[in-house]
Amino acid sequence: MFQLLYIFSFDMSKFILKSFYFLLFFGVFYTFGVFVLGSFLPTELRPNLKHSNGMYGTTYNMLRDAEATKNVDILVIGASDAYRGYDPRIFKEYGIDVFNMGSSSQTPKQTELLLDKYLTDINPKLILYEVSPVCMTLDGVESTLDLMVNEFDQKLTAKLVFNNPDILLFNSFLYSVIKNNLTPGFKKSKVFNSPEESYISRGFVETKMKFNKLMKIDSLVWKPSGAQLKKFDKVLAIAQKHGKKVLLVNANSITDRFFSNSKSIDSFFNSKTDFIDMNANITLNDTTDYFDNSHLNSKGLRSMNSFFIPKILIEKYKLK
Amino acid sequence: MLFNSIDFIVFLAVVFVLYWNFLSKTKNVQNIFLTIASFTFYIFWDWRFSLLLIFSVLLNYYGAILVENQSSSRSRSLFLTAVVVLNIVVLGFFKYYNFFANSASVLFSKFGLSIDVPTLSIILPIGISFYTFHGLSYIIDVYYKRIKTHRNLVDYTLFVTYFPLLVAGPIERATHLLPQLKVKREFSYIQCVQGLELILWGFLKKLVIADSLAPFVSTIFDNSGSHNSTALILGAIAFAFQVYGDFSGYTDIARGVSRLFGIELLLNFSYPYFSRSIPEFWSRWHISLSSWLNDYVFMPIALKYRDYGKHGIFLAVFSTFLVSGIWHGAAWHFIAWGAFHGLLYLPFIYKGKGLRSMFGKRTENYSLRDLPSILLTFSLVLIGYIMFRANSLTDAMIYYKGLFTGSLMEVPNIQGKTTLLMIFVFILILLIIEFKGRHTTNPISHIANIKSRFVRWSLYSLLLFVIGMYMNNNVSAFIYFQF
Repeated sequence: MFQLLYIFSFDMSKFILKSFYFLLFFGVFYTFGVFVLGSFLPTELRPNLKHSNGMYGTTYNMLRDAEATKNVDILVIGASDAYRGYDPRIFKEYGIDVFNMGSSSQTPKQTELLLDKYLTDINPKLILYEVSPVCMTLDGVESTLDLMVNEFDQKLTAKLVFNNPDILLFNSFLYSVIKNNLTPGFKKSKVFNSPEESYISRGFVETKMKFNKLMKIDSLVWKPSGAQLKKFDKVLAIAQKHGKKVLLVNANSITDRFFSNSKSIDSFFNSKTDFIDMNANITLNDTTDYFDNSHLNSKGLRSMNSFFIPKILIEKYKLK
Repeated sequence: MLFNSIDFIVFLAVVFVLYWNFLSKTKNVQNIFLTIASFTFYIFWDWRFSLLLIFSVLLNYYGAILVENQSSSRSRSLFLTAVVVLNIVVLGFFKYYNFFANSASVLFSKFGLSIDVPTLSIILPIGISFYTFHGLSYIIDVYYKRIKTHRNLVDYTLFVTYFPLLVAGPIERATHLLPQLKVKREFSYIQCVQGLELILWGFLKKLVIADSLAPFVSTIFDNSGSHNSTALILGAIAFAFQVYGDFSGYTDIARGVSRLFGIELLLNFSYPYFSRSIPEFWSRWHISLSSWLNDYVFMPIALKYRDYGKHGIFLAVFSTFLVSGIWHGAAWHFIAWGAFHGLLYLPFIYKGKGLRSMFGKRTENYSLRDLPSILLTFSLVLIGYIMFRANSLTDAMIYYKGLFTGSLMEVPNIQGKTTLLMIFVFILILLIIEFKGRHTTNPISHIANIKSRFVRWSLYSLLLFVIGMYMNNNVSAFIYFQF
């Protein structure tokens, strides 16, 4: 066996071969360990393996809904501002058919793959991209986990995991592959239940009515990740390839901004394609129109949607 | 390029394969290749720093030759002084200029003088404190004729710049490292396995213990005023294991990596938290720095003031720890930490026969009766760590004050208690493994002696598995890189 490695000395060949055998042994050991820990330890005792049913809310329902949806007027993409900020029921009142494909902390890395998979079938007239500046600064781990535990296409998830080296993602993906293959019942009963929020058909998540307690915000300077910027351009390119118009929107946010350089954020998005900053169009109340510092409550949501649909979409973009 | 990065793993694999298979014909080829690899490693941080590194190498290499070539002792000491001063000026400029400028401004203002000494925007070149001390030990040893100059610039350059020790030590001595560089290294399977064991143990301490404790320590130390006394005690203990896991983990990785190339580095840690006294602690903690300070600061001062008896020894100890404090950082809280440790030597100097060196007796035989002294020593070290870790002397005082307010029965007011509890379980396991393996320089080295390959490989796999499942996900630099 050692003679196979002519270029190395005997000792070195021994070292390389044994290292190789050890790595094989370790691979089996690690896989088994991940399965055992994931199956028997509670989540808080395995910080680098997060994989449980219903985790991250309603994405499971949204993905199943997406698989059955075809030919809509508008496809909404983005993070929680998207799936909590654009209510298909209000759009319906104006005769517009919407599917909301927002998911937890969705970054351009995930948006790209979601569009790859669903854009052809959903076939919208317009893509409404809710651009959350925060998500452009993230590594995308949380959002990848969100898709992983909710049975997003396994090949595409693998692509996300290997393009985003992270031990948490790797362990969770390994666990999901083992579990999905070894335990047939694992896929069942992932419907999310919470007294605080409920899933509404077509990707929308309704939150129980409450008012914002206004926590103090320390503004940061917006520094988007280079990898996310590249993916953002890729998302726009995919839309263009499919001949879809993209409208970038930044939903209303409270007066104190998370980022101090909001003007440069606006000019960045403006340089890409049509961009609407909702704060510049409608003023909402920091306490009574939000349920936390980032998200609109049902009152604020109705105010924003009731302005956005007739004044922006119908009047300005003639969507109807 | 951090040791705990994918870049370094790739770099190491490439250098290892090239070194043993294609560039190992002679000792000169080995040394030239390792020197090039070391500079490549260093340039990854910032290429500009390498110019300073080259200056330091050339200064001490040719400086030592100049010192050795002088026939009169007066000119020998003149050249030595010049080179030492130049080394210290360079180190002082990069590391201490702003500290002295700020301190001078404050001092003048106390006398009613408003003199604004300008501060500069200076980046601290990584590893400068370590490689400067390398060079200084070499030239001082040449001056005292402990060694002869080494007339091979490549070997000497590698002695200073060897990548496993370049950025945070151990601070090597010419007497230990240069003889190894003078001969061709042969590949040894056993040595490589031992190296990998050290790397594994080092990564475990760094990634699972130190990095996981880091967020807790930062939260508690950065907001000490808003935490209760039990949280503050936990914070100090957490820092003790963070800094130990971080620095001894780094050193184990450095020693392990070096073994892969057939070169043995100095031992830097020897289970310091099992010390029964402060002098013993210093014979177990950052040993390469302590012994450097013992040889080049403590001994000369102690000899100079030997006529003053125990007072002279105290002066030597106290000065040595002040230097140690300043070496760690340009800030008053480091100096106070040094002074505190100097004062802790008082009982050892003035009782009985006094002290002959800075180091206490180090034995690995323990009995239950040692437990109170181990706990007392650890507590004193903790008190010092508060000064060491605090952002300023004022913050340290707030921390100390907080320790004495409230009850020791209170539940610590910190977030993530379950995670912290889990890390403390790992610390307990670490302490048990280290205590059982204290007679060796690597507590997991006995795994290699297990006959069953299945058990041996299972134990290595288990350690790797623990890293994979419990390592902190955020890549962070080693604490001692800042020094």
